[in-house]
Amino acid sequence: MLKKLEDYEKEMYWCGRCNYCKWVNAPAMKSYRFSKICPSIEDGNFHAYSCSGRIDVSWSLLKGRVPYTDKMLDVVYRCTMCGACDANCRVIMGNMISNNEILHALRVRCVEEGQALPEHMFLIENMKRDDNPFGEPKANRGSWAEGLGLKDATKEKVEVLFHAGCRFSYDEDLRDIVRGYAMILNEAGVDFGIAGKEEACCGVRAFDIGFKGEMEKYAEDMMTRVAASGAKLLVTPCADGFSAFKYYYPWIGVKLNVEVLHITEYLDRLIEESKLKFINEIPMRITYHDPCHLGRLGEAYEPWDGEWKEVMGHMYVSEPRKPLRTGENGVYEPPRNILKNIPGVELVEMERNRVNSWCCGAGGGALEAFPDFAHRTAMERISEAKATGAHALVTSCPWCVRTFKDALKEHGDTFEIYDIAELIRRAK
Amino acid sequence: MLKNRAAAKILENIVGEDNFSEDPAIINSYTLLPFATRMAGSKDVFDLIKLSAVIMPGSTEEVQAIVKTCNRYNITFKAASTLMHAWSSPIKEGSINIDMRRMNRILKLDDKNMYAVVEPYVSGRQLAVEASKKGLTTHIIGAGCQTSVLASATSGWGHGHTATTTSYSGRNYLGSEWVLPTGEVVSWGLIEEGKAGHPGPGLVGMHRGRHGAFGALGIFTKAALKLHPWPGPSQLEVTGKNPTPGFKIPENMKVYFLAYPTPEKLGDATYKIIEAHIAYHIWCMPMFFHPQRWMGESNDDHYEVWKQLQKGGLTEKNLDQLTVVIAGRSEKELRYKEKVMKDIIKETGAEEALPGFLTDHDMERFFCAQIAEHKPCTEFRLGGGEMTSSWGQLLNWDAQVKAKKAIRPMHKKYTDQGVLTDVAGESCWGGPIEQKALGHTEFVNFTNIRDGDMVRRQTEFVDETKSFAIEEKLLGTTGLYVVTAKGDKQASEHLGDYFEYKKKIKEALDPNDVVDSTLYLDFDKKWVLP
Repeated sequence: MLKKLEDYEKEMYWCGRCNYCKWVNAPAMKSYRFSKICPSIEDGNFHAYSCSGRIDVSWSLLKGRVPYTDKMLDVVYRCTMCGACDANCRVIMGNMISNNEILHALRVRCVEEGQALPEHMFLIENMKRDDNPFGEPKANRGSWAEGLGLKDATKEKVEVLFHAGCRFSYDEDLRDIVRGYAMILNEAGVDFGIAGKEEACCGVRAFDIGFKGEMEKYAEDMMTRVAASGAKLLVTPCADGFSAFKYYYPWIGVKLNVEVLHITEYLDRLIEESKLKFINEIPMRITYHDPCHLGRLGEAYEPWDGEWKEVMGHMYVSEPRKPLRTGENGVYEPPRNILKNIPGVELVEMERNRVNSWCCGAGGGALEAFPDFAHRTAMERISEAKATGAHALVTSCPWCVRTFKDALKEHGDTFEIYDIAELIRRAK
Repeated sequence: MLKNRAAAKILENIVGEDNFSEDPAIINSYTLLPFATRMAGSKDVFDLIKLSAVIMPGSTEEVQAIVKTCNRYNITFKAASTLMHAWSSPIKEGSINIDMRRMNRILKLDDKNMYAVVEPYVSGRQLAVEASKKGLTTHIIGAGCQTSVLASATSGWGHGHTATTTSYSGRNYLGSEWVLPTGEVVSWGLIEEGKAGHPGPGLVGMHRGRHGAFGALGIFTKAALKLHPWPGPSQLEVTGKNPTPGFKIPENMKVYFLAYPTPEKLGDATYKIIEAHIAYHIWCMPMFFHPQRWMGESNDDHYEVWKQLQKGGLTEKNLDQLTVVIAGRSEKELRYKEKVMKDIIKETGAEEALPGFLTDHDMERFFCAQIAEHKPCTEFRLGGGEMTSSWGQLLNWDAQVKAKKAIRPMHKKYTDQGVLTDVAGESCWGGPIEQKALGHTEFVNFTNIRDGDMVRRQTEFVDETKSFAIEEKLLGTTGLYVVTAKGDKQASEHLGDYFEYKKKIKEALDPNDVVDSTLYLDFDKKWVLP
């Protein structure tokens, strides 16, 4: 269940300010150039822009030492909430500090006290009105699927419910990608359907900026829709949505009672079952970008409502044992397995990969409130991709694709960006 | 916020508005520091540090301009690099913190002459990964690879787990660009091309000595650091996963976990290994910390492993434990060293430490944490964010043996009274430096840092260890109580009053007393424990 900022006071005290939250976990660090892990501190520079610093700010807020100023809100919100700090803190502090939860509780507190950013209020108003963060008409949500003859999961039972997500539903540039996924499933003979205009946002974008009530509403909505569809499996090509279903909903106490898979996991399964085969060669050297919401934030949430007790004198242990959330259990291998199965594709890794991946910049409301910061973050990743000698960056999240493309345009640079579906379609 | 608004404007103009802040959110993120409560003797962490601003220079010229402005307007300052703990902050009320984060380059990595030139925000790990590509490595202190190698060399102390071969902080210091407290710049040693040379022990002794001035004598903007041969491959194979991955131990290296029945036996073994000149690493590691560092991922794991060790009767005997790593440049060299180790193990009656408990992956995690990665102290989580040492010294191994024996009953007394965490009697860690009989020794202990009474009782324990050290003439040159000026002063009284020279050095270099020197000199301020 969602806790209040006050509930984390003991954990805040435990931050030893080792500053490990700023760096790539040392065994995985391969060079000076790509040795950093936190986009926020790289942009803001002052210690307050790190997780450790935000814990200090949270604590100071609780003690009445920090008033709401523009700078304070900049500190709170100029962060992509990518979860890298959370994964790194485990290295030193084990399961003692719930970094992601503290960062969210801080934002929830800001919203409760009327301190949301105007750009974020705009996003929330859009969601309240149209159930998507862009303010696009709700009635148009399912129009991406026009002409494909897909089942309407709100009217007939389906084995698999396909949740397209907001970005894929409305972004015209990405329409071929989501249609491509649907065609792949169709061709593999999967019994699936979509909710069309009845589909709604997963709510992660709202929760990430501190509006917990919005996500609670969407979680309930999703639960009802899944149950009504009769689906045994919920599949989504949206990394945000996947993260919502696996991590955020269980965190706020909502269970969907259905198996949840990202589309890459499902397609990897279809390859194993020989229902998806690749014929055409794609002679291309590519690198794969791990979306945060599929990786670190795609790890399933395990609730804990225990206590800390002192043993052997003064060593703190949890009772019952608090789960150790490492970020290692996100979706890392299925997209790579797919790429390795495509003839001609040569996959080269970026230095920061899997749990140590660098964020694209789109998350945590950064894209909406600080697009310059988001795009700088994306360009840092593209530099890393270029350094591998790859000809293209491939990923599996519509938000990442959008942000990379926009950042390149903004910075007057070029590099090929693909969603994994585009390669699959070409290889079939 | 700075009281003098003209000064604030000047400082902001020097670095630009993005790099200067007086906002409470920014400032407070620099003030909540572990160890601060201990230094303050208070439960309220907010008591200690009240900054007025934080400033981030991007060049030596900007540092100079800031320092000169501080002199002109009588503003106290202190510089910080990677922000480890309370050592990195000025404490005098109204001070400014100079955050060196923007000065973050490796300026030179000269593999032929085996040294590097770095700026303050270069971490140990950053330098190590680049150095390893050229067959070299760097000394990294036990606090971890995320800390500044410049700060370690120029301004502080800390013992690295590979000190047997990579020496220690100040001994690797081959030159610096140093902005004095008055704003003048001094460059010496291997900072600039063609200026090789060393000014001799006088200058280094004056501005850093054994444990450094902790920022009290100005700001180091560049440092030249000695690099050492790295016997492993440039890229090690990672084994396991976060949060405790390991490294596959290279075939030319071998790890030993040894246990001895008495401190004397451990001392004998250490001498023999040093004399044989065969070790890449020697470290005296209390059994209590094995479960914390490489046998688990959390305090919960530690507790479970510890219960198993107790059940197996291992926490009652063979408390004196040693980890040793040998490396060979050729198979023949490795075989020779293995043979010598085998003989020493036989001669000294060593047993395998934690038999049946340490897995191969634990060994890989050990190798990763201590030898290659230099993992930060996971012991901080044992102490809920902090740990404390009683007196820590450079000692010869006979003295360490003596200290180990004397401190065990003291530690037990306070453990029995519920003051200290029960570490099964053995709390001494440390290791020899440069294959010598001299090494670092530290007695690590933990209490409830939120409980003022407990902290005071813990201080009594530390005082007992100090009294023992003074009575037995076991003083080296690293303060008596962690590293506060008070402990340093007490030690100095028995070591030729060097503290008086520190005062003179400070007066000469900082005539306007603008650099915060709480950890260096000002031991009698209210924030230091009585």
